[in-house]
Parts: sequence; C-alpha cells; structure tokens
Amino acid sequence: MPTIGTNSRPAYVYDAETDTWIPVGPGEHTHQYIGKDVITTAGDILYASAANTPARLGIGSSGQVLTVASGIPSWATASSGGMTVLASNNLSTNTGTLTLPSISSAYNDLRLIVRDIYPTNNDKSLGIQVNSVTDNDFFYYNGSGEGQVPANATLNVIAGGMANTNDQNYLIVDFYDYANTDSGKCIESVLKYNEAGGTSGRIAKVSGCANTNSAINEIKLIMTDNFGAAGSYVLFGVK
Amino acid sequence: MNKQIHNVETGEVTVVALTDDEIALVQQLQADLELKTQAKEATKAKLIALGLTADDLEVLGLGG
Repeated sequence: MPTIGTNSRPAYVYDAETDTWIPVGPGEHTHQYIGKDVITTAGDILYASAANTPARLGIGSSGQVLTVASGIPSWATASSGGMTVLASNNLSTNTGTLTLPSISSAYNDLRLIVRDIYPTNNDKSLGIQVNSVTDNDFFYYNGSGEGQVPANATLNVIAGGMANTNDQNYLIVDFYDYANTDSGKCIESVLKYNEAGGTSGRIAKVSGCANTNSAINEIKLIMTDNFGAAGSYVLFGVK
Repeated sequence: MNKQIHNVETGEVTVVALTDDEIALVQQLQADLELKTQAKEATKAKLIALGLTADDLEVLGLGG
C-alpha cells in the first residue's frame, strides 16, 4: 500500500483495485472524471483531442453530419446521399406565385414538393420558371393530350385547366444538375390534380429545359389565380 | 395579385405585390390556356359532327 498523501485534505479513500489513495472533499485535487465545465454549450459533444485529453466539439449547423477529419470528429456538410430541407412553409392563400430566391449552389439537384396545390377558382393554369428565364422548351403529357412546346416559351407549363378542388393534389419537381454553368437546366414534374369540367385524378407529366447556363438560384411557381387553402411546400437540396 | 417570397438563404418569408412583368406573365399563361381550351372544344365539335361519340373522344384523350 502506498503512503498516504500529506497535503491538507478532509479525507482520503483507499482504492484497493488500483492501489491508490484518492482525495475526496473540498479543495484542489485531481479526480479521474471529466469535469462538466468541459462542455459549455447546448449541443456540445465530448471527445478526446489526444490521449487522456477531453475536449468539446461544438454543435454543427442544421443539416450537417458528424464526420472524421485528421483523426478527430467534426461536423461537415454531407458530401453525398442526403436530402437537406432548404425551405418549408405553407402557401399563403392571398398569393398565386411562390418565389424561392437565394438558392445555394452547394447541391447536386433540387427537389420541390408541393402538397395540396389547387387554385381558388376553376380552370386555372400552373407553371414554373427559373431565374426568370423566358426561353424554355418542354414536353407535356396529361392524359388528355401531349405535345412539344418549342423554344421561347416563357416558362414550363405544368398543367392547364386545374379545378378548384383538392383531390389529394400533389406536385413534385426535380431540377437536375441545377448549379452547372455550362448548359441548360432539365426539369421534370409530376402533378396529380382534378381537371376543370373533366377527369378527376389527372396526372400531368412535364419534361422541360430552361435554356440558361447560369446556376438556378431562383424558382417561381406560378398559378393564374390565388392558391387554395391547405397547400404547403418543401424545397430540398439533394447530394 | 400577390406573391409569397421565401428567401432560401435567410428563411425570411414575405408577401408582396406582383411586378408588372409578373402580372403580364400570369395573364399570358391564362390566355394560352383559354386559347388551347377553345381549340380543343372546336376540334371536339368537328369530331362529333363526323359521328364520334363521347366514348370515342375519351379514347382519343379528348374527353376532358
């Protein structure tokens, strides 16, 4: 058994397993635990920055993932395989256009989902435009017709003749390779809606291209009427 | 007419009036729809005059 310490302490406890005297009570002394003062901020994570060296890792930004760099953990933007919510909200019923500006170029693709989208009044159209580009080509198929719309269309028309009813309406739009600065931007959309005076549960599919070599930094969803109630949207960045 | 702007970088959501150019775009989109609807109805009338039924038009994708 080692000699007990001579420093002033209220008490020592002998640990037979490690054959050491452990100081307890008030006063400056060393304990074999990690002090709570190492973690100072909500979201902190404890790790060892070196052997026997506790350290804190401050919380990362929304959407970041925990990774390893130079042998220690860190927060970083996901490099692949993830979808990050960039914007999410309800559609305002006193508006008929949704504009999403200041889109980061940090992702591979974009995906816009709009649930329960329909016009307040009957027989209205829905289109989509990026960067206010007025030179677009698109092909549409909606069950009651199909066709190729040549260059110089002001926007990609997703559907015409929408009824002012919500039949579990759903729109999904993908913007592929949207940040490239070399070629046009391909867009694909699928819309489920009711047709004014016609078929319920229509599916409109559009494949389009915005003829611009600038990265998409703004998306406009344009209804020729105010949006009906209950609509909501989510814009994802896709890695 | 108004538009909802959701700044993706800041998260700020505002509602403002459409610009004149945007109003013109909306009007053009609706006018294109009405022209297309008129053309479709005219075609359906011609086909009905030729003896096609409502079921025939549905088969041709012109039922709506």
